[in-house]
Amino acid sequence: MDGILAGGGVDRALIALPAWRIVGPMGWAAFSQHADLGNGRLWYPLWALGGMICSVGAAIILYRDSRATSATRAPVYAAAVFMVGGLLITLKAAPIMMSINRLGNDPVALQHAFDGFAFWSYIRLGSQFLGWLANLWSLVALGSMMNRGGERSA
Amino acid sequence: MGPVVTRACVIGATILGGMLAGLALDRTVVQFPVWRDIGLNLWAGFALHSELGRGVFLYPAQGIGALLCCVVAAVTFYLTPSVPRAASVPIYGAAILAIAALVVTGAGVVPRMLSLKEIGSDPAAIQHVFAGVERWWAAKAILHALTFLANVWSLMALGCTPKAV
Repeated sequence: MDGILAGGGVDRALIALPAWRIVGPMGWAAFSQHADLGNGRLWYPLWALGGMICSVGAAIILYRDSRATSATRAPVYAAAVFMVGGLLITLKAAPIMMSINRLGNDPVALQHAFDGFAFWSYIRLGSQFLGWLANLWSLVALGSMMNRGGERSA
Repeated sequence: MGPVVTRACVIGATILGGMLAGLALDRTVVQFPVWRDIGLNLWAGFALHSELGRGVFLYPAQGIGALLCCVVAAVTFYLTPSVPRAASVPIYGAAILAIAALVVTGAGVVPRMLSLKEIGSDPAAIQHVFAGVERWWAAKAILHALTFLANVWSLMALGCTPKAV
């Protein structure tokens, strides 16, 4: 889930936001009203909340597993922290996005909203991307832990 | 050496392929329906600064990088019998799906996107290009999502099998 979220996020950070900066805040606002506040209203929270719940759930399960070493715990805990962090930063970005409906066609206010949203988005997307990398690292670490368990029982 | 290369390539393919799957699904599920609603002239203008701007470097790097990782993983897997055979279906599957995604991109998406530079602001021409791009992106999104799932499966199969690499 985090992979899908991070993929869309990297595209937004590296391609879409710089392009909107050129096209202008009016176009960004019109698009966002139908995207982030349209289909995206279900799509983005689905991946963000789902990924965060899975990451935190994995961290809790591993916390209670006495077989886990610190090398296994580190990426799992890091993923949970980054995913929760990403969601908390969304609390700063989301109100800006929600505000564009009432800003009308005021270019100065929309430019201000775009700058604020872009600022928090870069931090949020960075956190979610790091969370996803930590999750991949967790997969590898957990695989190694299961191997050790299999070898011991053999 | 072979098992290490296989695992490294699967990890690389999962990272790059996840990014591709995420952006492709975002485009197909969220963005394309929006462009249809708010006007395709805005889409054409945005595309000139995004996909035909910075995207000219980022997207090929991601796509070719992911494809190379998948193919090299499949080749080294084939040449290294010590790698767990439980990973054969997802590793070969990911390589086939990644090649199919490249064909769809090269034959369907890229020529239509590049044509945006030539057609100017003719609404009928933009509408025609958009319809084609949207259709091919849907196919691309399905292929990238399946490739990503196959790569995650490969990663788990390589890691969770006794005597793994």
